[in-house]
Parts: sequence; structure tokens; C-alpha cells
Amino acid sequence: MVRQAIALTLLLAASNAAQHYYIYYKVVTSGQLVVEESLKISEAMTPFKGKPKTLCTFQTEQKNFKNWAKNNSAKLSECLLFHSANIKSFNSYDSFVPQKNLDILTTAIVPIQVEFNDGLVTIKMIQ
Amino acid sequence: MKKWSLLALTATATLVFAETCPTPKVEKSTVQESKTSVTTTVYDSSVQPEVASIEPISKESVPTLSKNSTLYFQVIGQGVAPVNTVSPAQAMALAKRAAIADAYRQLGEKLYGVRVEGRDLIRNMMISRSTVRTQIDAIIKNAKILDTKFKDGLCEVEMEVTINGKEWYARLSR
Repeated sequence: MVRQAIALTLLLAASNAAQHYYIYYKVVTSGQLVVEESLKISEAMTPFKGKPKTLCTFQTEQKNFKNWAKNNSAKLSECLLFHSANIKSFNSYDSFVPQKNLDILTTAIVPIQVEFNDGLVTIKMIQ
Repeated sequence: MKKWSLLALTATATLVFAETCPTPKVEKSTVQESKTSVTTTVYDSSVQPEVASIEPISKESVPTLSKNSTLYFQVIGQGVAPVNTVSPAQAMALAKRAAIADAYRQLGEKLYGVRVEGRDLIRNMMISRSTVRTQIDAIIKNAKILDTKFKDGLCEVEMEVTINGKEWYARLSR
């Protein structure tokens, strides 16, 4: 009986346990058009030990973060960019005529902790 | 006698021809010719030309950060929807991302400045090639999206960065 209770509590704890990922977003535009966009998510091999700070919370019924991120990449990218964004822009003009225009917007590779609870997904950054 | 008769004949012949073939009369044209006036100005070396005076920018008009003030940097980024997309929704989403990138670029210009590199190639005392390159490299945090508009395939994103004097004055005034 005791064993069953312990197993049940462990199972519940495991289902609500936070998931840890590294996340990175990049968008390249040229002439106001998106040329390249990538959202990279990698599961951490060991859980992070730092202090979590909440970045954003969204409503969802899903439990898999990678699937959720795939379907809601716009929301996630805006959340990450709000935290920190690096913009690099290169323009060139030949005889005062615009030749090349390239903007590269990236986020830093951020360690995040994701929690799915009560129909909400909470994304926390590890400091 | 013969001479007189010949003279009389020639006189009558000239009179007849004068009536049948009248000389064309030259009439004065009613169209007035446009007058062009040419003015010549003689420059006097002793008189200095008037140059508009440039007033220095007063310190009060330049927004400066103080301990109790807050600076707002607002930009409007523009993005174009690509043509070859699967659906209009995808085109709008991509246009919004391009607009966000453009807005961040403008914020970077305002907050960090632009690095400009110019090159002029001169051959035989003439500019044969003129190249200007600009570069921006900036890290921006806490930029809020205030508004998003879609119109005719163009997306406009209004963004704002707030710099609070209480938080930033001590750091920036070092």
C-alpha cells in the first residue's frame, strides 16, 4: 500500500515536473522580406540549477513543449525577443543607390524551464 | 513723234500691270513678341552676401536623461508580405516578423548609432565609384510592441523602449 502511494506521488511529481530546454531564435530579413527564420529548441541533458525568472505565460491544453512551440512560434519568439534581442544590420549604397540590405535579428541561447499547469504553459528563464 | 508714242505706250502698260499685279502689302502682325529681360548683376567685393545664421541647439530642447525623467524611444517598423506563401495568414505572419526586425533595427540606430564607412574611387580627377556601407550592432531589451497594423500587404509594427532615469541614470552617467 505504501509502495503504491509512493509510486503514485512520484508519478504525479514527474507529470508536473518542469522541463528544461535551451532555446534560440533567428530571423533574417532583406528588403523588408523574411529570408530565413529558425527556432531551435534543445532539451537539456541535466536540469538547470539556477534561479528561475518568469518570462511569459500562455494558455494551452498541450503538454509537449516542442509541439506547442512549433504551433506558436510567433508568440514564443516575441516573448524571447522582449527579454533580449541582438540586431545586426548591413546596408550598402553604390553611387547613392541601395544595393544590399540585410537585417539579422537573434536572441541569445537562453536556458529555460517550462511548466504545464492548469491549462497554462509558463516559460521561465534560468538566471 | 515715234519716241513720244513709245513712251506713252510703256506708261500705259506699266499702269495696267500695276493694277493687275499689285505689290503685296506687308501688314503688321498683331501677335506681340514676348520680351525677355536680362538682368546683369555686378558683384561688389566690399558687400558680403547674407548667410542665414545657424542657431545653436539649446540644451533644453534636447531630451536628456535625469534621475527623475523617463525617455521614450518609439519607432514604426515595416514589413512586406512575401508573394510565394501557402496562405494569407502565413504571409501576414512573415510580414509581421519582418516589421519587428525593421523596428529593432530602427531602435538600434537610435540607441547605439550607425557605423558608416564611405569609399570614393577617383580616376582622372573624376569620381568613378562611390560606395557607402552602414552597419548596426545593438542589443535591445524590454522593447514593447504597442500596435500592429496590416494594410495592402504591408505590416506596420509600433515599438517602444522606455529608459527610466531611476534605473539607468546612475549606470549611464559613469
